[in-house]
Amino acid sequence: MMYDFLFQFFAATAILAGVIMVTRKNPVSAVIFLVVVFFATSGMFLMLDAHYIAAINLILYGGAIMVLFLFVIMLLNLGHTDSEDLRGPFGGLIGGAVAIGFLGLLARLLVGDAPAAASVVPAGEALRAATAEQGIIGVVARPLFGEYFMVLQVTGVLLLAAIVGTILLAQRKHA
Amino acid sequence: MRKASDVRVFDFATHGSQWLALLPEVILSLAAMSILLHDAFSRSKDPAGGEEERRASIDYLLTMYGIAAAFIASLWLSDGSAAPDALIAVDGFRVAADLILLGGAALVVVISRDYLARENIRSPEYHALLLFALVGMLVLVAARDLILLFVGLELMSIAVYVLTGIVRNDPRSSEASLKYFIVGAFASAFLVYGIALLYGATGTTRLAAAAPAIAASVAGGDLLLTAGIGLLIIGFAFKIAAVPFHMWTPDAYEGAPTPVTAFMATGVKAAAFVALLRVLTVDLGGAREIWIGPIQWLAILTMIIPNMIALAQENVKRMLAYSSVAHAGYLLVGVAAASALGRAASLFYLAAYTVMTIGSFAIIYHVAGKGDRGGFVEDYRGLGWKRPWLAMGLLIFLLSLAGFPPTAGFVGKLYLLRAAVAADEIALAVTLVLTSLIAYYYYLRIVWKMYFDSAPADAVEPAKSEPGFRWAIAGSAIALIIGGILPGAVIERAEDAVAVGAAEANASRSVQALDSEIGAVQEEIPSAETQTP
Repeated sequence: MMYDFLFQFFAATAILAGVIMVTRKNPVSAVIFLVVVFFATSGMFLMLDAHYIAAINLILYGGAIMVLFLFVIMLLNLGHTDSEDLRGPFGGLIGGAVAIGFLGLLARLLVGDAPAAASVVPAGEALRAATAEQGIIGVVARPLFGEYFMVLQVTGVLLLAAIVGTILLAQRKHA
Repeated sequence: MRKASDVRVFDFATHGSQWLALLPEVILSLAAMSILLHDAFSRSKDPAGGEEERRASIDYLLTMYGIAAAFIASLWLSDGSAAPDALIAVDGFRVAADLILLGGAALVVVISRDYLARENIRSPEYHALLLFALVGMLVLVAARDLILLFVGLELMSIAVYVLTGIVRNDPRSSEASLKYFIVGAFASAFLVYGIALLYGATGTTRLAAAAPAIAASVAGGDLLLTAGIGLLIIGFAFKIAAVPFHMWTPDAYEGAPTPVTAFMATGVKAAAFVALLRVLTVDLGGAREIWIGPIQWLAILTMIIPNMIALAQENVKRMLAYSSVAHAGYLLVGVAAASALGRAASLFYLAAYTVMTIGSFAIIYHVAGKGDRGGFVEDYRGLGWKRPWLAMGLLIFLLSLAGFPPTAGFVGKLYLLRAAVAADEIALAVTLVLTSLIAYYYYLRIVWKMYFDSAPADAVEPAKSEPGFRWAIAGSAIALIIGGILPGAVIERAEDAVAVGAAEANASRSVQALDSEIGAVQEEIPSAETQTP
């Protein structure tokens, strides 16, 4: 029941986002809807217990390749027209709701209990048992968001500093 | 009165505990992000001149408040504790390093003000990147896991690469940034390869928990461990600019905007140094026989060669760059001593070194004038009579760098000597004394020019400095003198700070780990009581 519903949800989302994608005039918003398609297909991979492919689909296609597309579009200096594609009538509302939702999640994370402290990646036979129980993603994700949570946070700051620095060094000089 | 039960224990079982253990870093990150956001929302308005200056001073205040808040947070952490094999260190050693780094960064921010105005550097990212680099440094000194250590080192490095090249219309600045970036990336590769090999040798990235594995590897002559330690030392040697891994230093230091040079010479060096100190003498304390040889050679070369080259420098900024390389050698003596005394001496010397280096770089950019054109020894002729206070400040900083009594630089060197002699590193102690004598020549040459040569008729008068700058310089100079006359309080603080670290080092070597740790905690409690009135 739940399984069918989830499949239909992801399938419908993928088809709908695909249609929206090809009908957009603005290439930036087309790319963003393509990302939605990738999210939906990743959901279907998850339902097939293909955790690794789901994650790679998100990280490589939804993340890296789409960012590359966006960069190319911005380099060609497209996407300045048809800006109503980007900011729909409820754009601000939806964006605000998503932001508040994420803030809520973060706040829960802040006060919530981290997984057991000794959750490092197991080796050998223990790894096989853990994979069977949590899936291959769980084996990596638990230490990442438990024991090594702060490392992940500092990496976030590192990426932010790198982005700020790149923009600072590469931007056009403003008079 | 503080009771033992008041000691805050960080068990890292919850995310909240992990956040709190990195509270100073979190505060500084938030301050940096609020500067970026403030810039993003204020730029679209009126781009007229007044608006720009108001924004700059708000950024300045945000930075200073952020550093002050992080300072308080570090003090708050000082009565906390965490298990020695936890991800993040919560101990006196970290807090002492934090205070040195935060104080140094605050000084850099204050002395930057005049420079940014003079060179017309209006990027609001200057302060944000400075704070990001500071976060990286604090993470670096707090890390007990090599993964966290690497991430902190990269955060620090990347922010400083950009700061070095922030004057984009000056080719020297861009050149310095590019050189620093390429060499820095190279060094990171060494470091991360060393970490990988150490993981291979011990099966963990948390060396404090791997003392038995390290002992077994040392006994079995494991090549993996030796290679890992070697690569780790090379990676760090690039960062602290130890000879023969110092080639990038003079160019990068000379080309960078002078306040950034001061930041590189103190903050970056101090943070990498404290991390090296902890990794080698505490975490890898059981493998001393492997790393002691390379460290001794690095120390000797780093003391001799830069001091020789500095003798021939006419550009004062470049001369101070070589001087800063030489000081890395003095600090390495503290590492080679590998004792609690050595760590305490290094901390004391780092504190003094931070103050005197930032102070002298601040004054030389003032004397050099717009665009750093006149930074040569000859430009200092007669400065003592034209600008007595500025020259007085430089005099104290240079004497302290040279190691004359009654300055903190002298006490620091004495203290390092004591640690070296106590650890039977006689060769290092002798080299330290001899090279300090050589260094007198090039420091005192500037003093001579300032007071015993008359100013040429066409000399350019250095611009007047703003009040904050004058306060910072005066405060630094007075602190160096007080540290030289009454060093007791600071030394006691430094010795307290390493007491716990010393217990850990013993623990990794001996079977009576528990006993010595309990002993250290018992010593810690009365000393904590004496600190609170």
